[in-house]
Amino acid sequence: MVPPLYFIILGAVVFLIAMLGFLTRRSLIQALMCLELMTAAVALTFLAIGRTMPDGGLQGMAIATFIIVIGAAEVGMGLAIVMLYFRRHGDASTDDIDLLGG
Amino acid sequence: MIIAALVPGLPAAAAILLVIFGRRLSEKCAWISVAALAGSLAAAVYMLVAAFRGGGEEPFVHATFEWMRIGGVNIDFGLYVDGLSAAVLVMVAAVACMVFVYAIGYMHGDERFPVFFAVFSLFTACMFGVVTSSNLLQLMVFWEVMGVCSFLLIGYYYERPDARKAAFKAFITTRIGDMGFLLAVAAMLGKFGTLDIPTLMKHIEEVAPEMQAFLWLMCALLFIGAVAKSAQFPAYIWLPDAMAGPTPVSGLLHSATMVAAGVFLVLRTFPMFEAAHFLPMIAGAGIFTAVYGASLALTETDIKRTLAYSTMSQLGYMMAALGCGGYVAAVFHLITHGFFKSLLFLSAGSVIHGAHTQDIREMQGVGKTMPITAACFLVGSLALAGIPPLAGFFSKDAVLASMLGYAGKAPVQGSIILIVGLMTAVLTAFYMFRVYFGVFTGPGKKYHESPKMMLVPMIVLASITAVAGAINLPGVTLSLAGLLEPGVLEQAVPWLMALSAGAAGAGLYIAWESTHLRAALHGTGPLPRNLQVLYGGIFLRPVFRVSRFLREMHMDQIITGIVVSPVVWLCELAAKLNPDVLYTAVFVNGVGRIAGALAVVDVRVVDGAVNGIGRAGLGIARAVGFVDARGVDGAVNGVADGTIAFGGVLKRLQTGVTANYALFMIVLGVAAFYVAWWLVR
Repeated sequence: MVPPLYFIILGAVVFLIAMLGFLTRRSLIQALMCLELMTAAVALTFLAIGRTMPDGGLQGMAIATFIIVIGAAEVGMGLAIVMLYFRRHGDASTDDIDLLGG
Repeated sequence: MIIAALVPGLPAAAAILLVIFGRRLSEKCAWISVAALAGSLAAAVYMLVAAFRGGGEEPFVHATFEWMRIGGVNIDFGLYVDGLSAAVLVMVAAVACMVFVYAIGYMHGDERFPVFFAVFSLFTACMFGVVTSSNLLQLMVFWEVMGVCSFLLIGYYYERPDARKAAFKAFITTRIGDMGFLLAVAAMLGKFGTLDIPTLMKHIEEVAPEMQAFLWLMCALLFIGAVAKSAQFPAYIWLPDAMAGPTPVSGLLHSATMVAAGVFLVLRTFPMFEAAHFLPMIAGAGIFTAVYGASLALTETDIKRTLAYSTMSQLGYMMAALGCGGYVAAVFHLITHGFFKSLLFLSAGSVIHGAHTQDIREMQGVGKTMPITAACFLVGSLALAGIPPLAGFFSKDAVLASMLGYAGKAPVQGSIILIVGLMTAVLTAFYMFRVYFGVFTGPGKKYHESPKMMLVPMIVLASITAVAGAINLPGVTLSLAGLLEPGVLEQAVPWLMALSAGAAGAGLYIAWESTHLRAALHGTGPLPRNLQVLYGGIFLRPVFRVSRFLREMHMDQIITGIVVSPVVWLCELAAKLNPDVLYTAVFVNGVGRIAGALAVVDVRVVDGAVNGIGRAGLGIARAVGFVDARGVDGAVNGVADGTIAFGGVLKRLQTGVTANYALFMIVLGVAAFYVAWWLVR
C-alpha cells in the first residue's frame, strides 16, 4: 500500500502547479481549470490524511465528497460568469479585465 | 491477464500520446492509433484462442484489485474475460482497426485531425473497457466515458448547428437512460453489497425466488439504460440525428460498438434477466423496435439516416432474440451485424465522399464510376438482407430459430414475434435494395472513386462479412455456440432457413420492382409489364403509406416533447414564481395599505405634538450651530483630507487585474498560515 505521505506530497505538488498556473495563465477558462485543480489537490490531501485516521478514511472521504460537490457548483457558476463575460466583451483574457481598478 | 489488460490499455495509451504529441505529428499521428488497435486485435485474438482452449467453461481471466473501500463496502476494479467478452472483443477490435485506417483517408485535410483520432482512440478504449469490466460500477464508468466521447464525436463539426443539436440530443437521451442504470447499480450495491458481475449473478440466481419484485425492478432499470444506449423504441430519437457526425464515427459507434453496448449489458447480466422473468418484456420491446425501425427506413431519403434506422431495427432484432432466450443468436447477430453495418456505413461514406451529397434521390448510377464502393455496398446489403451464404443469413436465421424456440414455449406471443420477425426480414431486404438499386445502378454522372486508404478497409470488411457466417455453423463444436454454451449443440431448422432466405429474396424482388416502377413514373425507364404495375399497386402502396404515416407522426418530436417539455415548463413556472412579483404582491402592497392607515393617525395626532417640539428645538439648534461651524467642522475636514490622501496611496493596490489579486491572496494566505503556525507552536 502506498504510504499516505506520498499522496500528501503529490497533493502539495499539484496545488503548487495549479497555483502557478492560476497566477500566470491569461485565459479565464484556464484560470478556472487551475482553480479546480487546486480544489482537487486539497481533496486529495484530505483523503490522504484521512487514511491515517483510525476510522479508515471515512472522515477524509466525507470531506472530499463535500469538496467535490462544492467544486462542481463552483464550476457551474464560474463557467456561467466566463460565458456571460465572453458574450459581452468578445474575449476572456484576464489581462483586460480591470473594471474594478481604482 | 496482462494480455487482457493490453486490449483497453493500448488505445488508451494511444489517446494520451495523441493528446501530447498530436499537434506536432499532424496526420502521421493516426498511425499510433492504428498500431495500438492492431495490438489490441492481436491480444483479443489470443484471448479468443485461449477461450476455445478452455472449452468456454470458466472465465480464463478474472483478476480484480481493490479500487475503493468505503466503510464496509469494497468496490473492485478488474478484468473479466469469458467467451462472450473474447468474441465481442475480436469483433470490435477488427472493426475498429478497419474504421481507423478508413478514417485516415476520410479525415485527410481536416484541421483538427489529431483531436479526432485522440477522442476516437479514447472511445475505442472505453468500449474495450465495457466489454472486459468485471464490475458493474466499472462498466458504468467506461459506459459514461463512451457517452462523452460519442458527444464529442457526433458534435465534431461543431460549427454546424445541426451537429451541435444532435450531440446534445444523443448525450441527454442516453443520460436519461443512464439514470436507470445508475439507480439499478446503487440499489444492487445496497442490497447485495457487491457489484462483481459473476458473484452478483451467482448470488441473484440463488435468491431469485424470494425477491422477484425487486429483481424485476432492477432489470427494468438496467433495461432502460440499455434501451437508451442501443436506441430502442422510445429512446431511438438520438440515433438518426447522430448521423451529423463524420462517417467513420457512424461506422464505428453506430454499428459495432456504442449501440451494441446496450445489448452487451443485457448479455452480461443475462442470468439476472432470466431469473427475474423479465425476458418477455425485452422480446416485445425488441421486436417492436425491429419492425418500427425497418418501416421508418423505407421512406428515408438520406443514405446515412436509412442506415441508422436499419441499425435500430437490427438492434431490436438482437434484443428480441435475447428476449426469446436466444443468447447465442444475439451474440452471433451482434458480431455479424457489427461487421456488415460498419461496412455499409463506410461504403456510404465513400459514396458521400464522391458524390458530395447524402440524398439518395440525387445519386444515380454511382456504381459505374465507383465499382469497388458499389461492390462493397452490395456485399453489405446482401448480408444485411440475409441472402445466403453471407454472414447476415446465418445470424438472422439463428435469431429466427430462437424465436421459433420461444414459440414452442409460448405459442401465441412466440408466433407473433416470429411472424413480425419474418416481416421485418422482408422489409430489411426491401429498404436496403431500394437504396442499392436507386444509388448504384442505372445511368449516372461521373464520380471519383475514393482513395485506396478508404477502399482497402472496405474490401477487408467485405471479405470478413462474406465468411463470418462460418463462426457459428450449426452442429459444429468449434463455433460461437460451442464457446458460449458448451455442450448444447444447436440443430439447424432447414425449413426456417428456407423461409428466411425466401423472405430476403421477396424483399429484394419488391425493391427491384419498385425501382423500375419509380423509374417508369419518372420517365427514365421502360414501363414495366401490367402484372408488375399491379404488384406495385397492391403491395407497395400500402407499405409505403404506412412508412410515410409513421414518419409524418413525428414520433421523435413527440418523445422529445414528453421528455424535454416538462423541464421547460418547470423553468417557466419558476420564472413566473419570480420572487419579485411575489414580494411586490405580499409585502409592498400590504405595507402600503398599513401605511395609509397610519398616515391618517399621523397627520391628526402626531403632527401637532411634533410641531410644538420642533419649534423649541429650532431655538436650541441655532445656538449649537454656531459652535459647530467654528470648532467641529475644522476637525472633521482635517480627518477627511487625511483619508483622501491615504486612499490615494491605497488606490494603487486596486489595479483590477485578476492576477494581482490572486497574488495578494496567496501571499496573504501564506503569511496567515505562518502566523497561525507560529501561534499554535
